[in-house]
Amino acid sequence: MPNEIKGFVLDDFIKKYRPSNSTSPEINVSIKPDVNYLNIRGSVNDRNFLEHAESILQQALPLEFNTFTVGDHHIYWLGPNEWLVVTDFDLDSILQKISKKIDLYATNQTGGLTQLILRGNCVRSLLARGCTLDVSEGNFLIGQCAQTGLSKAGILLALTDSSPSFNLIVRRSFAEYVGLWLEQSGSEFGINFVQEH
Amino acid sequence: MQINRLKSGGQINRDKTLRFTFNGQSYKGYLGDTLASALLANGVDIVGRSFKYHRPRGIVGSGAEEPNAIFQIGSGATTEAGMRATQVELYDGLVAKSEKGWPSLSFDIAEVNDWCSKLFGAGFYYKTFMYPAKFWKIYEYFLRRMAGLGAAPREPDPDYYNHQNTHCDVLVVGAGPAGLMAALSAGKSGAKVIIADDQANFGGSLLASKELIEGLTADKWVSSQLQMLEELPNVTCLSRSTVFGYYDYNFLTINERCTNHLSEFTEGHVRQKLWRVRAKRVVLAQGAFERPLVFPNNDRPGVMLASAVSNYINRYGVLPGKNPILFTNNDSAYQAAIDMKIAGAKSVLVVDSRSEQPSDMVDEARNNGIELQFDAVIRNVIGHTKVKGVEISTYDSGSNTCAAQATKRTCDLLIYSGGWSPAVHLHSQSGGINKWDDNRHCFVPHTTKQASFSIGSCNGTWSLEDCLKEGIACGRDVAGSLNLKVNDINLPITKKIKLNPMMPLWQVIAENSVENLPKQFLDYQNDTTVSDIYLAVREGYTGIEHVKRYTALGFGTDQGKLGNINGMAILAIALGKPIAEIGTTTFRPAYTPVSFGVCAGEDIGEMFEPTRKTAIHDFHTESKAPFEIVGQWLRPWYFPKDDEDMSSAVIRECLATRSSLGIMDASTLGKIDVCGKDAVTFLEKIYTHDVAKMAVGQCAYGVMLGEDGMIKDDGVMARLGENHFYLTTTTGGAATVMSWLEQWLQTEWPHLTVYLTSLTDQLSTIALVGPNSRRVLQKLVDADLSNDNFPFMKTCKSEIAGLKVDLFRVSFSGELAFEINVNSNFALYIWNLLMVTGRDFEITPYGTETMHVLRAEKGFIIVGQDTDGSINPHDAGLGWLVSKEKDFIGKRSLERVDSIRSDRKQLVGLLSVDNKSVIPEGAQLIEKKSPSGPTPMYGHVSSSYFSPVLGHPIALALIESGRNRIGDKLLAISSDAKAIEVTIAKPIFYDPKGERQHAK
Repeated sequence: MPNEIKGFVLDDFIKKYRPSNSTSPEINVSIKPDVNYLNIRGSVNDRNFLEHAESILQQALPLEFNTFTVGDHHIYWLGPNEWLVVTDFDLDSILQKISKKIDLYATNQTGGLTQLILRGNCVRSLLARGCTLDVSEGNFLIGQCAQTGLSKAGILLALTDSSPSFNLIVRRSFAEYVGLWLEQSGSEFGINFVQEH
Repeated sequence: MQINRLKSGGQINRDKTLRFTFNGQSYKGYLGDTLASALLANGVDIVGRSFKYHRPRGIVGSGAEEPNAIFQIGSGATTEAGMRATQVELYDGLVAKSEKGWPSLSFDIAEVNDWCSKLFGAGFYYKTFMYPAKFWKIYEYFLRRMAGLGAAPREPDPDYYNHQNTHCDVLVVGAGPAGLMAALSAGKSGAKVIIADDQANFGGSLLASKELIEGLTADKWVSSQLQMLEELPNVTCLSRSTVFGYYDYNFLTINERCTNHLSEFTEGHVRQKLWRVRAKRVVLAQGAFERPLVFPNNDRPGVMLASAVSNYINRYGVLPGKNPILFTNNDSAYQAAIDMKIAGAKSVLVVDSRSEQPSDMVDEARNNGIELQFDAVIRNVIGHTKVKGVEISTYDSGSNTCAAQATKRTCDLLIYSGGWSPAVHLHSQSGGINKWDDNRHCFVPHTTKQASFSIGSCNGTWSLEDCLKEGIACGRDVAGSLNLKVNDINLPITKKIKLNPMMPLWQVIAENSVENLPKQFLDYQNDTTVSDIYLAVREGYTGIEHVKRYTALGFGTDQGKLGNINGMAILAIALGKPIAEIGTTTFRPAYTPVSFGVCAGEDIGEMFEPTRKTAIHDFHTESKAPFEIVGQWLRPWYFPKDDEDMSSAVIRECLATRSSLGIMDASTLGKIDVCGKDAVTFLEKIYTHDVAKMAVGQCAYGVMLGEDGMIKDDGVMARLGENHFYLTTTTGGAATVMSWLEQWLQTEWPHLTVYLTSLTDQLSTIALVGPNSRRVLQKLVDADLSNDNFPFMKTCKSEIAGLKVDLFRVSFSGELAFEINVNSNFALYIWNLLMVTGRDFEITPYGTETMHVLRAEKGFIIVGQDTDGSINPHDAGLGWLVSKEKDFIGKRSLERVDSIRSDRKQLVGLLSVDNKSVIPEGAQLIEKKSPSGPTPMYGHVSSSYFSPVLGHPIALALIESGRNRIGDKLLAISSDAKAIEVTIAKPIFYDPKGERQHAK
């Protein structure tokens, strides 16, 4: 697929974004647009489903609530019958492997979601400004994820390392709001955005 | 001249002189002053006029309880109203104005109310300004002016406020002796602690105390404790932070004032912060309020609480009088007399209603040369704009009577204390119950509803040693209950003081004819007096909540912090009941007023709510389309060419679409993927039509009803596979429908295997509309779009430029039309491709307005515009969609007698008789010749447009028995009272046979 015909959700935000004067921002946000998202549905009590999911993804679904696993893909637990696969793999090759005989349903969400990676010492403080979940150290641990809110937008939040680094996944139509919110609320700490290619 | 400033002492910085103005007059104070202490230092006696009688008033308290010194601070955009001078820290350039008093504080013309006060009893306003009803607007204007409740700024607030969520093990409210010990004890045991205090400095009552703790002066000891707290990484200390709300699940809100003490406006800084705290345990240690005593003219400027006097002397180095008299019923107030004497008051007299008994405080007073008079009370105050003297009578506490003879004595300050009332506000807000304690004569926290603990004087514990002890024990218990390893701290050594118990004295003069006495004030802020309570009782009010509303007792911004308990006690006396049976009124957030700015935080301007844009938004902005906000989405309204106005643009867009080709961004539609083996069973229950009968590849228009049988949402759905469906919802209803469906699935039908996944963001929808749509689309797709292969209401998969798309042959315009669903990342690319490919047919982008006209010409409804929650499918002419063979949500309601009445409002068309007038939406429909009396209204106009293709206006309306009245003429009356004659018509105006959308 020729990349130039893709229109990513935060292109416009990055175009308009003026880096702050802060030379050493406390918070760095990288926007990683070109990844694929696959929503998987099926019953956690259905052994066939779980095995089939593992065989097509080559990675098991996390069964512990509010956790994610990292392998070829990041797979996030969203609910007892719902997972989100975030991957660089081509989705068609995965979707083709789905057997009609198994109760496994998948929807492509690549055009509907986007991901921001937040790094820096003050990220937890910044998130606490808009997020009612306790994201403090000792409570929100590496490998945990949660669907929560950031001010008035719904987000999926996951902690990937102790730097700390959070993955924030948001619906396309709320991404600009989240970008603006981070820019406004993060100005207190110094915040910088970059787009990864 | 700071005439009342002491030469030394206080916690103020005398090297930092600050200038400020009050009512235009310039004064000086010091860093560390409050506005109130600075005014007192400058000898300002009158700070306000009372609410109803416009009596002159002075400063009474020194904290949150202050009812009189309530000011407008600052000017212009940054002005704030209703600020208590006792809590406003002085800064250089502060501008303060009293909120009442015209033309001036010393001469207020409305004081005439006081002279005629016999007319102005409780309920005066309710009784007087009832008639004539239409005059209320005039009354209101003058009453509001007279009441003087401050002014809101007219400009936008330039300040910056934000919110902070936080979770902790323990939130300690109040940093007095008990709170400090609790925080330290829990903090040293490793608990995550937040301790908040509304004052600039921690210490609470210790700030003005002369007691020694561990051999240190109280303020030095507080500093050492604070240092220990600050060294603990798990403890957050918040000063200038008022915990103002206690809600369910131990959720509390704190208003931190970050820069209010620096200046009226501090560029580049957060002015205030709203902390949203979720605490595992809450320790309430807010202290207690000193209670006034109730006697005639107890509101004169120069009457002040004993604790306030000690605060002004010891914290601010201000001596509020030279010849004070102290009136008390308890020992704690003696401290104020001693402080006065030591600070240099010439003569100090204590009038104590009790008989003399051994007490350390009495001894100390006597040793300091203070004159003491026992078994005596103050029965009146002399002086108008300032206390000049008092009348003292002997008092018999046994019979609760004071002698009629009085001796006069001059003074310049009357200090009073009626004991203490624990600040049970937050405990009450949390759902906790208070009970009257007959030994301590106050309401104390009784049962708790949440994980909270009251300690120290807000628990009715008075002595310093007991407060410290309670704090330590509480911190230890809390840490233990959180399974932390308890780290004990030692009880600080304090001096034991022998005290006499206080004696309740609710009403100095218990004569029957309270009306004949000068006013005895209970609530200074609302001018509620003892006689008001008696009047309320005479008029039949017995419950405290009713008396509160009738007399306005405790209704001010101080929430009756001073007056409530006295008021309840007087009510008890008037009713002849014990106080315990009266109970307290309900305490509600906020504890002290909170600014709107901090409530709004950062959610203002463009961040007030999210703005959602479609993936094709860039095209719309480049085309300079104005936008319409629909359910947070920005939707292009119309696409003006050159200098076109909206009506010309819409006419052009409509005609182009009807005659050749239009294109519309329909991406904001809610889109839901439904799959799972029970998908059909589920959707059969949701929609009214026969979902099971739909073939794979078939589309259908469907409506879903609420349990009341009324239309909830509508949209086209498609069957993509045996167990796979795609639903669309209205733009504004997307989230509501999704949660509605999930609710049924999760709570009522968990046995069904159905998965709902939103595709609203994933897919963009482009509608290609008009007789040439097939020709253009066929150029881009391999799929055979001929009518035989792809008839109306079918869906198929295809590709455009190698990109996967879903095609739907559906129409919201009545034209031959296709909707193209594509991954949003490619939507703009596909849109632009269609624009290029359609150029030969003058492809015309159109917005929501043209969409509305086109659909109205066909009589297609918009849920929420042509329905309002009271319209069922039969009313909307959609009875053909309702299956008789199956059950669905709302079916039972739809069969009620009322649902099938023939005179319900029904959707019909309207044409204006003159064929020219566009009938205003919302216009009411009435008979041409109205009968006398109230005019029957048959319905209203729900949609109305000029139809370019028909060349005349059209409208849709909901009219009683409308379908039986086709051809009838009515009048449409709009809010501007213009009448337009209209004819009722069928609601389909264009292509009634539907030939165009079925075009071969």
